[in-house]
Amino acid sequence: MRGAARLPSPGIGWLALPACAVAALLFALPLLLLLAVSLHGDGGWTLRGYARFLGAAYSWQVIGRTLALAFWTTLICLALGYPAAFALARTRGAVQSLLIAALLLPLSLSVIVKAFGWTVLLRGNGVVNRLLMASGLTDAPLRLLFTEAGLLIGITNIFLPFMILPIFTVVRQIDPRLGDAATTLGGGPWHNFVRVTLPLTLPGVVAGVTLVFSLSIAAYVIPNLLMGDRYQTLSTTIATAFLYLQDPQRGSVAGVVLLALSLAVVVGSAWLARRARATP
Amino acid sequence: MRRPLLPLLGLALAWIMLAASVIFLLAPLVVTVGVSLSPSPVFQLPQGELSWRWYARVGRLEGLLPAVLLSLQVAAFATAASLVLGTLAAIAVVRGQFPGREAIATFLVSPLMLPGLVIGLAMLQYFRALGLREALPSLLLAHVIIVLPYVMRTLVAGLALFDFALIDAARTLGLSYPRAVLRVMVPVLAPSFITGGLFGFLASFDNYPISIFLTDVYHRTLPIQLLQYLGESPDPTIAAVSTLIIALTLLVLFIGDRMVGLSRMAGV
Amino acid sequence: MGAHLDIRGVSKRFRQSTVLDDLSLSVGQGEFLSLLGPSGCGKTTLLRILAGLLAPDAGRVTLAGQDLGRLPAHRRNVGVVFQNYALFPHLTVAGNVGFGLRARGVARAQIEARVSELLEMVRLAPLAGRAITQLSGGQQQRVAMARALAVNPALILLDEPLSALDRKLRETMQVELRALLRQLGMTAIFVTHDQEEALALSDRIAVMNAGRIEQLATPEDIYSRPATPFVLDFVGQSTLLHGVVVEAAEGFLTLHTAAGPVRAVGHFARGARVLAAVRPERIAPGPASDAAWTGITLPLQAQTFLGSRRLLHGRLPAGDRALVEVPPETEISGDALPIRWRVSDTLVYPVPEVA
Repeated sequence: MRGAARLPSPGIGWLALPACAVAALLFALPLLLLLAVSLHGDGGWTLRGYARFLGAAYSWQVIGRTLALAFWTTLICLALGYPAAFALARTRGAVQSLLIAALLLPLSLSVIVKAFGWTVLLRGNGVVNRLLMASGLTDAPLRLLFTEAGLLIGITNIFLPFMILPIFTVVRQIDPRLGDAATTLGGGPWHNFVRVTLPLTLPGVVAGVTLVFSLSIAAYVIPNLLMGDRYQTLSTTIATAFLYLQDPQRGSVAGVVLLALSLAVVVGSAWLARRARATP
Repeated sequence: MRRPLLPLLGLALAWIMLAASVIFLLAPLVVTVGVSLSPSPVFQLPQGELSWRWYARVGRLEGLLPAVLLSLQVAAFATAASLVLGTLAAIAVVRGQFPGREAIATFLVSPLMLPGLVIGLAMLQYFRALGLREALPSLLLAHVIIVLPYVMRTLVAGLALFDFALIDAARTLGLSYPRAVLRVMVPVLAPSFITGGLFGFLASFDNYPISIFLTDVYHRTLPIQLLQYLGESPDPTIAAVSTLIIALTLLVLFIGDRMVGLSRMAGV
Repeated sequence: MGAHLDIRGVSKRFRQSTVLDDLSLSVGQGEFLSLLGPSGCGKTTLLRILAGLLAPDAGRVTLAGQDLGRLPAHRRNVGVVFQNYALFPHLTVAGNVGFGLRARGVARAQIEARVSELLEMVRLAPLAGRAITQLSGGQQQRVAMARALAVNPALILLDEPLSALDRKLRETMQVELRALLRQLGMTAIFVTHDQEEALALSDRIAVMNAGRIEQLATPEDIYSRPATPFVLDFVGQSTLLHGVVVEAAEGFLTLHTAAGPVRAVGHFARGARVLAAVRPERIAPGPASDAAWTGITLPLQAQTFLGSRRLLHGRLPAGDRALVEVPPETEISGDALPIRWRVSDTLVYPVPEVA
């Protein structure tokens, strides 16, 4: 116990009460009610909602599609974002500020604005097709909008900053002398990367992957705008069940499934983050 | 010193990826701005001549102004409430010695990590069960849950580095406890307040998946109104509105940069 | 003249542990008093109670005739220099020094005059516009002093203000600090766990242990006449010999110890178990020549050369130890050495009977 900083301040914990009360009343209780609704039917507690939803092959298609979309999005973001974060960490001063601004602007911008931009870019007579045809790569417009390729482009675009920034914050803290130290110890460049750089950046990678994956499985606006109603993910299923089909139980069941997936990602990443820190 | 080939290749790859990422990220924004300035009624980039005609039409868009005002009002309320709640909770978590502090911190940040659509859906059913059918109070309450995690996260990080002896020092120099907090803790933690507040504000202003369940015909937030325009009559007026939103976001980031520095905000 | 600061029967408990136990203390106007003790002895808690940052469970504190009672920190006019200075990072040097004056609503022109006066005093005038983070440790310490003194407090409290500095700088700052406070005639309470610092700076020292004052005396008395074994052990080093009183007559004692008979001055009953101690510089090599001297034969274990002196360590039975300080050029050979000291230099303490 040294000096003033660590003297006990009894009662200070109560300051968390208002926030906890608000979060409990407006967040935890609603989610519990959602769980209850998903388990409620025909005047009693029942698993029928789940049986109905999970018993349908179509639902599994939706779940699989949601996970596959999130998986590919995360993979592309990682492949683009990991090297980009390294390059960003090597920049200095005004260049770095500008580049960070170029990442923060789309990150803070309304998803609907970006989605609108993509509908303009991807349409048959849109900018991408004009460029492709003008350059002679294609002679007829490609169908991009309302295809999974277009969706993947749009969704990657939305979540890429969430991959670059966490990796960047980790990379810029790495001591550049570590690489030299490893080289003097006889490590080749590939060896250095795998044994020194990669483990050190792993916490950033875990954070980025978690963010992008959990955001992707929950994405709603982009699939809805770039693919339309017929392309169903878990999110669009929830919205459809609620807003159009007026089937609260189906919506709640799909909601609980999506919630469970998200929680699994969060808990799993917390476990991974602990492992990444513990590994020497 | 002879530089090995592989790192050089790696570095070249890294630069290419960074350039590609930035172009890729800014492409939809640039196109939106371009379309808004083109005289053509179909979506295309301006060919030579620029026109402001779509901006002139923005004012005539039905429901736009009320939507903007509603969104601003909701975001401002949620941010103010979250700053108060989040500051108190962050102090408790950082300074308190009770068991379960970590759990409380995780709980208060968790809405950020869970699907907004599910939270919105849960809130809708909950508010209905409580008999709350008014759109405005529902939106105000719900958006506190959207903003709180941002404030909580940055403030916990900021407070962990804050020297509480500064408050004692201010007290011995003649400030009462509340004034010491106001005159010392608030300015020293200003970067955390600003960063958490700005990102929280933008998150509320842009929120779609929670708001969609809580709005009604008379209370549409801006994102919901925008999505409706997109569905109804897509003409370049939407591009003009979008460009204005881009400008607003740029302005907010610029304020953040002046007050905090972008590179600190990037750590969020 | 009454005491400038008077502390009467102050107690403080945190949960199960008693941090201050019915503590009383008086400090005169212009006095420099150190609270010396190991961490956890309650010295920082006492300081925070005086500053008004903590309320005592019991007791009274009066300053310049005014009962501080439950007066909050901001109304006490007590300056504090904090351990890591607690300088405001969002303000400049001048902003920090003028903080207390602004808090009191002093006019701007007066603040500026007072701030430059103080910066002049601590020789920081050219740095008035600097940010705190641009200062060295010693400069930060001086800003903290100037900030605490700016409001002309009735009492200044210093919480280990030099502990963050390296040794050489610390010694320079000690001299500077003492001269500044003396020049201002400021009453000061200085908290430290560094006995050398306390000995060097203080008019009086209160050695604290487990929430109580073990001894309150001048540095000379604390060192040469420690009142309790705790003070003896905490301040300086000594030879320690456990023994039993075998003769007691007319204020003179003869003790039986594992190292042989030792004589001392004091009043103890025959058969009493005691601890005898001698400061190392009181001991000289050589046999006890007459009745004014006493001594033992020291089995030599090791010697350490310390530049200005040489320390000899003796090998004695468990719980006992011997330390002799000799001039550095002294040549010692062999493995046993007769040593002697004045009978009046033997310090004797009762050893509590183990039931």
